[in-house]
Amino acid sequence: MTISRPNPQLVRQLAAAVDLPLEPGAAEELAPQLGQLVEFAELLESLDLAAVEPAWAFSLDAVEP
Amino acid sequence: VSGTDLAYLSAHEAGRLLRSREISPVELVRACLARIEALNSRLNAFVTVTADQALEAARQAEAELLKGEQRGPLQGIPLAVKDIFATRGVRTTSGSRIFADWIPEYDAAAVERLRAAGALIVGKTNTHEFAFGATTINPHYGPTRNPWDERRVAGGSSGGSAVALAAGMASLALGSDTGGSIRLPAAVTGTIGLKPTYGLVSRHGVMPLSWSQDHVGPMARTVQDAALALTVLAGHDERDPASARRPFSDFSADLDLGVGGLRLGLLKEQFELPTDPDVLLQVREATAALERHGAHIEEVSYAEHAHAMAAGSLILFSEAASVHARWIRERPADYGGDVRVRLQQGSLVPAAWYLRAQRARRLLVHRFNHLFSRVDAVLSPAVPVPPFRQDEPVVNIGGISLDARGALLRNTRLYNLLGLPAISVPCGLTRAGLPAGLQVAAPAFKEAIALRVARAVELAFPPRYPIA
Repeated sequence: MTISRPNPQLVRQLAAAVDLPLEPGAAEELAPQLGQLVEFAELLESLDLAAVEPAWAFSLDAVEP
Repeated sequence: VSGTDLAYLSAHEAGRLLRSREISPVELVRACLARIEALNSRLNAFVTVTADQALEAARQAEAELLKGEQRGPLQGIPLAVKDIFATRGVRTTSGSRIFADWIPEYDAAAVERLRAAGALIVGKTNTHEFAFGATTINPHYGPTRNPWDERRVAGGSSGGSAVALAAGMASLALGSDTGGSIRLPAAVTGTIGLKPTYGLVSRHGVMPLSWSQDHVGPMARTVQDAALALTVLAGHDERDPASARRPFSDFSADLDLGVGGLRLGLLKEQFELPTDPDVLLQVREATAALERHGAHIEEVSYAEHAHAMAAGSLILFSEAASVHARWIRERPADYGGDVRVRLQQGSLVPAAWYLRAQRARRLLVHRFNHLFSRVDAVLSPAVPVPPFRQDEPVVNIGGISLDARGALLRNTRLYNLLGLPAISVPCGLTRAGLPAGLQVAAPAFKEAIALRVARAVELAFPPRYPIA
């Protein structure tokens, strides 16, 4: 399942897939909020990470100069 | 010395007077407790007041001081602790219903260190629920109110700690900061908040929110007090997997070296985003004062600013959802509405997005650190808006409407992603009499530079307090 422009129905499907209970009306509230995270993910797609080693977690060696 | 004057003494000055026996720890703690008694029903800074334990500890400190026994640099100093730090024998709620009755059997590492240095805990301070929000409007324990105008937000999530300091209810406070939760309540209450470098201060015993962006740090009324507390707090702790093994010295040592010859960069991207004109005026006055004292001011640009905001948000939401994975499924009704929605949102973030954000982070850190080849520290408004009314969802800046809560964190979140030290220092009041703060960020483990710049700003804008 891909997430492009989330709508309440997609939110309900995603929530069901990860066993996340949603109260009535939550999908409608969540759809635009999830949409903002989609925009963030898309923005990061524009970074060229070819030269960056995969990082499994954040660690001090990334902070220290 | 009046009770109010005692309660507003800096920790540094109080320590001097305690050691010279001009005041007693019992007097000092009583002065803070009297302020809590008088003001907490209005301000709601504390969710738990430990008056009996504080007085007992003060009597013990008094006996030690009379015998000439020195326990540490904070001997007899009243401390407020954000209620996400575990405190032995004292309820620790994390601002939640889920932990409403939790009484830990241990102290968080930061609490351990401050107690060992002689600090006396006067109570646990209100927080945004699970530290996941910027207003300290808490659905279970009530809102913390800003003492400069009680209709307005105190900032968050360490809002209770900031208000405890601004209102003279404690001499020092502990906060945590995942997106600005130390610096932004400090900025909107006219106090000092220091987020240290990732790894400098142990987070053992602190409720996590986003483990790769969580930081613990001191809150204070003076820069010198922040440096004093940081010197006590810093150091390796094997119980925190991110804890650094770095030598460090007294963070107070360079405070009064001045800013002559320092190169300070104004972060273009944060100055260009909509900022309240009165806040901007105060920040410009602060940078002008630094220039008059010999600093070289120039503009610096971080082209990846928006990318950093994006990566920080994806990491925050994903890690928070992971921390809360069980409770958000089993007890969703026990969360307040705003935090529940954020956790549900984070629960739907694909793993690939999170991992891309962490991978991008290395590049983003590297690019930002490059700025430090040109400047010694980077400046911006700590918070782009003055504290807004609690019922105000939107703020208007020059005809542009901004989500009020999002605006609070806009300039602080960057340094959680980057792991760099950043401090908020007051830089005067807006025309409406509300505090504004300047944010000073420095290279990793160079807290001394941020503190030195903040000290110079403090000299230009001496501390002011809202309630006599």
